[in-house]
Amino acid sequence: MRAFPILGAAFSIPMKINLKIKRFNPETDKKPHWETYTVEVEPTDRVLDALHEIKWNQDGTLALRRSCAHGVCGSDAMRINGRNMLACKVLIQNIAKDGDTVTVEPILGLPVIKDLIVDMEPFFAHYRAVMPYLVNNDPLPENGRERLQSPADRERYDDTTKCILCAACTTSCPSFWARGEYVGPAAIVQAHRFIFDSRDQAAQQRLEILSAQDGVWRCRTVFNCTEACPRGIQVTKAIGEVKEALRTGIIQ
Amino acid sequence: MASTTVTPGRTVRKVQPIPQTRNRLELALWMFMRYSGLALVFLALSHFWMQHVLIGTHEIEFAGTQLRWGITGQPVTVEQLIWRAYYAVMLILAVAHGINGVRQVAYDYFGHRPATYKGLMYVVVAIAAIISLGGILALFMGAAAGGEAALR
Repeated sequence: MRAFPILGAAFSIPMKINLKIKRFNPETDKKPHWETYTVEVEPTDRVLDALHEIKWNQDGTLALRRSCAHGVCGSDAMRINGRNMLACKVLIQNIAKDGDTVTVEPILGLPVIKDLIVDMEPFFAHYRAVMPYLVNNDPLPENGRERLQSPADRERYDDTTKCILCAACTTSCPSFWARGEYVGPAAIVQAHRFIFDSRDQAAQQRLEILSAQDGVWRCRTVFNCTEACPRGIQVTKAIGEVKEALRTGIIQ
Repeated sequence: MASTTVTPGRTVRKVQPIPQTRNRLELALWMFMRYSGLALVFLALSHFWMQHVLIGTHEIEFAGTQLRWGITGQPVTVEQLIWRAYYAVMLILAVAHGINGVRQVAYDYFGHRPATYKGLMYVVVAIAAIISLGGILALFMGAAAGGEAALR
């Protein structure tokens, strides 16, 4: 809109919103508390822009993670108005009107380090547990090029290749909130991506890992993960396909 | 891993199903929850429909149950046998479905404290036994007693 000031003025009327942010400073606080900031934003701004406005111009002590700021790196997953989203992907006009209050919290189920920053290590430990890499012990093709795969075989696991490991799904899952040992939707999505890859040879091992007590059976098909995923991955469907592979022993 | 292609371009691979024997139970219970849940949607809704719409909320009486269950002193009819099967299936599925649900939630919250989890499961199973026993007593003994009273 900055390139077209007339259009900008016509379509984008600045508005004031309140951002109610859950703050926690481990050096001084015993428990988290809420702090409210009033910011002037364009309706087409994102929640991340509002957080930047606070951090850069109002209160530099606010701590948050973000890297690319364009919905690709998955650093800024947070709980906005009670739902997990990427702050860089949600427009303020889609969640608030002029004068509204928007709540922003760190994602649930992981230890808070400071303000909106959580310790992602338990999440990545589950990720590593499902062998998230291609396993193929056959000799390399003689022509020295790639292992071939038909377009249909590639299409089979296309949905689960989109995962950016933002943790929005795993930290929206009630089973994970209750029991952090549950491997969680994101790790199952990553396992699905390799189990259903026709070039991979470790499906058996991954399925054994996922059939353990804290594997796929903790999923109660709540669908929070599917709703939370900023990449639109059909997470619950992927988990269902893994369960079905466990039941039938057929990967197709 | 053997590869066979059935649909054009799509590879089908086979693995050992249910790899770990100890989790056959989890798989079986997961399947049970799916099917019993689906069955209960129809069973419970038809039960409510019959009791609260066809019969009417204020007209529910034990006599109606007696009539359907068949303890009026007369030989049991085919219709009454169907009703018995209907109630028995609904009771068994509802109790088992509910108890397994509680087990799942209990494991979520207390799985990391094995002693608490085990103790809780004893309580849950005891409650299930009492509910089942109560249901059986009400349906057989209670109905029989009521049937005798109805005959007098």
